[in-house]
Amino acid sequence: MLNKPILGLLVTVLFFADVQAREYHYGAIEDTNLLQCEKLYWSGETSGAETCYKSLLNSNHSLAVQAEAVWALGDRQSANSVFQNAAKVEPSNAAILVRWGALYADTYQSQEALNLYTEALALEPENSYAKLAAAEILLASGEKQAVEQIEQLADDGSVPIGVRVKATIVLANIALKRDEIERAGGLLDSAENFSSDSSDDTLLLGVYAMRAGKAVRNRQNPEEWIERALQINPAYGDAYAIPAYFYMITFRYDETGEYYQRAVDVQDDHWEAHLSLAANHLRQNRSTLAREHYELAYAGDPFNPELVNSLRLLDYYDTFSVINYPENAEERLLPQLSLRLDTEERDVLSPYASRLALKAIETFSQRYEFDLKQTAAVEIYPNHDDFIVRALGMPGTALLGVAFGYVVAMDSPNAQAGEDYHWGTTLWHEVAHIFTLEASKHNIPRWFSEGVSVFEEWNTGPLNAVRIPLHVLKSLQTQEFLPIAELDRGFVQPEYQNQVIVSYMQAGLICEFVRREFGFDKLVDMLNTYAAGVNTTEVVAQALSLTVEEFDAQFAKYFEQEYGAQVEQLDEWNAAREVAAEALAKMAWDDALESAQQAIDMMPGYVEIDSPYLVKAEAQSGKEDVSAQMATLETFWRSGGYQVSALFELATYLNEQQRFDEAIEVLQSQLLVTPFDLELHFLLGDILLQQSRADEALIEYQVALALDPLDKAATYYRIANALYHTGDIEQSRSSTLTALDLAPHYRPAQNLLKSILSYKVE
Amino acid sequence: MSWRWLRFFVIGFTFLLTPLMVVAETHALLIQGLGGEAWYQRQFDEQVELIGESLKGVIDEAHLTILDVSAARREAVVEWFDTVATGSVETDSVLIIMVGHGTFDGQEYKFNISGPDLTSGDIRENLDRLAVQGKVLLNTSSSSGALLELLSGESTTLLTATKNGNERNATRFGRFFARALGDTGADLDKNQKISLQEAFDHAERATSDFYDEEGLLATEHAQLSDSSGAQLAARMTLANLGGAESLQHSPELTQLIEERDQIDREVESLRLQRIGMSDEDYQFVFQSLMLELISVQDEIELLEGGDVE
Repeated sequence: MLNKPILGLLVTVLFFADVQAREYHYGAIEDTNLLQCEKLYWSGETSGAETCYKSLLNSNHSLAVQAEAVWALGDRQSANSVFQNAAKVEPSNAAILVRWGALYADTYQSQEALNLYTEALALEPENSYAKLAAAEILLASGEKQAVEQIEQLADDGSVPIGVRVKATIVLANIALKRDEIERAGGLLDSAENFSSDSSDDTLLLGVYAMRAGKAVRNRQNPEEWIERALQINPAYGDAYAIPAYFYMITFRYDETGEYYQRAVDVQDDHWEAHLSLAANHLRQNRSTLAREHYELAYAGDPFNPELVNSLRLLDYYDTFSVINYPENAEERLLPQLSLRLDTEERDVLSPYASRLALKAIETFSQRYEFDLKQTAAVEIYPNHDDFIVRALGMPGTALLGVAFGYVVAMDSPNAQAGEDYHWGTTLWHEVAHIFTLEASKHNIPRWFSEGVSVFEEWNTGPLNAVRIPLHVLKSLQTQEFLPIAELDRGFVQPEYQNQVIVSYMQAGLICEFVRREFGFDKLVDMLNTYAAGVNTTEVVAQALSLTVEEFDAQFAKYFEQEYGAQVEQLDEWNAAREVAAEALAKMAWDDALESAQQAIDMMPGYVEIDSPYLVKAEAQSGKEDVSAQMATLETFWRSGGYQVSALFELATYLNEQQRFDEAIEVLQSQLLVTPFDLELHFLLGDILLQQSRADEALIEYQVALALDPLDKAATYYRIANALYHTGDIEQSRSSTLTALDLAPHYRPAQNLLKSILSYKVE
Repeated sequence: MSWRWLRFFVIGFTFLLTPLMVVAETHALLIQGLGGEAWYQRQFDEQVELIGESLKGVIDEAHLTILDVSAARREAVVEWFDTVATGSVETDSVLIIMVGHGTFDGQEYKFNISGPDLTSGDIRENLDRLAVQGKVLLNTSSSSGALLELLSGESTTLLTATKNGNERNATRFGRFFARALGDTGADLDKNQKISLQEAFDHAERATSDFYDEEGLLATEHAQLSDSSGAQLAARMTLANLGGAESLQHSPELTQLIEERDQIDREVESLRLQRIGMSDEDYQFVFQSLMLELISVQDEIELLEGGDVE
């Protein structure tokens, strides 16, 4: 007997419901009446399905069936209540718990879903639907054992066919993400074979969709498989959405957009497809279309946390300040660069971001012999979570930058705590991606795009030094590099902690190795060969005349020669570094110097924030040997180090020693780390002005003003003085009067006014 | 309007304003509370010493009372209020600076001193007794922000180290405030004097920067509340960077100083009229005032034995 609230709820559902998108049950549903409705729905007869589900909303059917019907009609909140009652009425029915869990999974509440699956397994330890569903949740959270569980289910002839089919599809999906095309093909063959043992042709929908995904991953046409799926269900959006996903992860954003659009064209309530389409529009700088699809998706699926984040981001995105370079495109139809910056950061970041980005564009255009066909758009986010939502849809990841073709998004220096973040290097890295993606027509594997970006960081970027993090070297003490043909796997499906960053470094070193052994031209050849749509094995053969096995062997030898000693001596190096640090803490300067030098001799290129160079410099400072200290800091800086306070000290010293050009260079390099440091701008501006570089000094002082200094009178005076030296006397007068308005007794400003007025008189 | 008439108008306005802009005596009280731990005691000792030294350079000795930790008792504070209540006139101002620890229980603020603590009720009651035009209270203690609400409506300019009574951690603001009084970097209008406003702004910025640089969550947010609207904080000098002004000037120098002060008053008057002026008019009059000021300052420097820059 239904209670009154539930009856009332169902009546409401009857009036307002519409059939909504859900995942197929794969045999978890057994009620024949319900199955009839499911058959209609999964054949694309949505109108008939709706009538059918509504006919189930009465006491002739169990609460579990009614819950399914309510869910299918789109009211997930009410379905939850009905499932709850169903579970109370039949507390030993594990199948109800499994389906109830699926409802929670459908509303992105994984933990609640997992709890229900666990309860189901407590009632029926061999319930394979519960096992599979639980394993899928654990898989999504990175639990490695989940894969084994799913493999067991796929291989188990005693479990329902639907479970085997679904398990196999999941495994095929994993294989495709890891670029294991052959394995995926074998799995999909198995899934198709299992399906043929069943009369339910709906089982084939997921198989065909995943085959379409495989075709995309293998750079083939997916249409044959899409067509087969649509013959079973013409309203099956995943027929397009699944290949769209694989276009997306292989950076083919034009095709991604096309296929997600087709997905929503055949199934307009495929809310995830709307969301993904919106995200793709945003990747391609089409915020209006993005907003349209985000809003559609949110209206249909308000449970999706990614949607809420994305809509909030869009509201914020529309407030950004956009600056185009050049501002007045006379010779060009389009600007070369478009910077999108938070209004609070615009006046500080724009001079340096534009300068560096334009330099990167010029550098890569020459090196890769490719002119950009569209405006390069660079977005810089002062809040890391906003950047991550922009990049991935949900906050909470450690990315610093991302490139979607012509659009680059990255963290501002203010988005990262501490002094480690070199935003200039991130910008350089991401702009390099624009070139590798566009020059290869997006037919480039992840590893090669990352490899070229890292390689360019090392060779042409602001730091201009090869930097391999310690934890990468540490990992390489026990782990091995991936074969070049499988290197994408290290990025997409890492098997150990640090494998992603190890893969980045391996990719960069591969490019470095190619440059050394074969010449930079061969690197460009590889890029152009990828553009033809061939795989890595073929690229290596065509561009380098090697098999991938030969390449791997030569690369391994190169790495051993260049870095083998460092990997081997890592523990000894670490020990020397620790001894140096301990000696420093005790102010045992000579001991600290000795151990620090030992560490430097073993690894002269290590210039991170805990570098032995800094220990050595501090020990030299302790001994009051300023010139030795500064020589050490200079070596540290020229090797690519950028510790803020140490380099400010170096710049001050160089200035005092009248080594003005070097002081300027050091300070300018620091702008790519801490552009929000007021004192840096003042010091740099003062030295530039002293060196008769008034235009550049003016920029520094204007940026200083944008940083809201307390002493505005002094800042306006500096601006006025720089303007005076550029010859802009009228603006200089105006700024001088502003300074005096703040501080009428300010003698330097008073004297400048005298000079200005004398100038005019003359 | 011609420039000449404009300038004349400014001068006339200045004379009208002059009586309103004159501040007579300032009666100052500096109270040091209990430190509790030795480290805090040393901090408060240093702050009181720095603030006290600065005040001695700008406030008449007869009107300056410094109660160090041993002397700071409730009855001494009340006695000071008694003295000021009877010995002040309406045009006088009062400045109270409290350095120490404070607490707030949700209803009452207490400043920790020997014997009974000084409560917000005590402070309100005693401020009410003073019939002076300007009342300024600076409190650098934890929970000092509670006074913003507890003393609202008292026509008192309040400067606190915290934004409310719930910011209970010991503050760093007091240290930065005390040091600002000797820092040329705090002299934002470059007049060789540090006003209360300048010291507050400098300390507030230094406090905020401290938390940023240390990567800490800020547990204090200094506040300035001026319900009187008289901008007392900007007009009250707390430190003289040029050293105590000599009382012995030649008649010529005295004349030039008076001229300089007159120009300063005209500048202030011009600022008050800015809203009704175009930018061009304002800039023209302002520039002419600056040229006069420069000329007078050049002559002052020559007479004081220096070279004109």
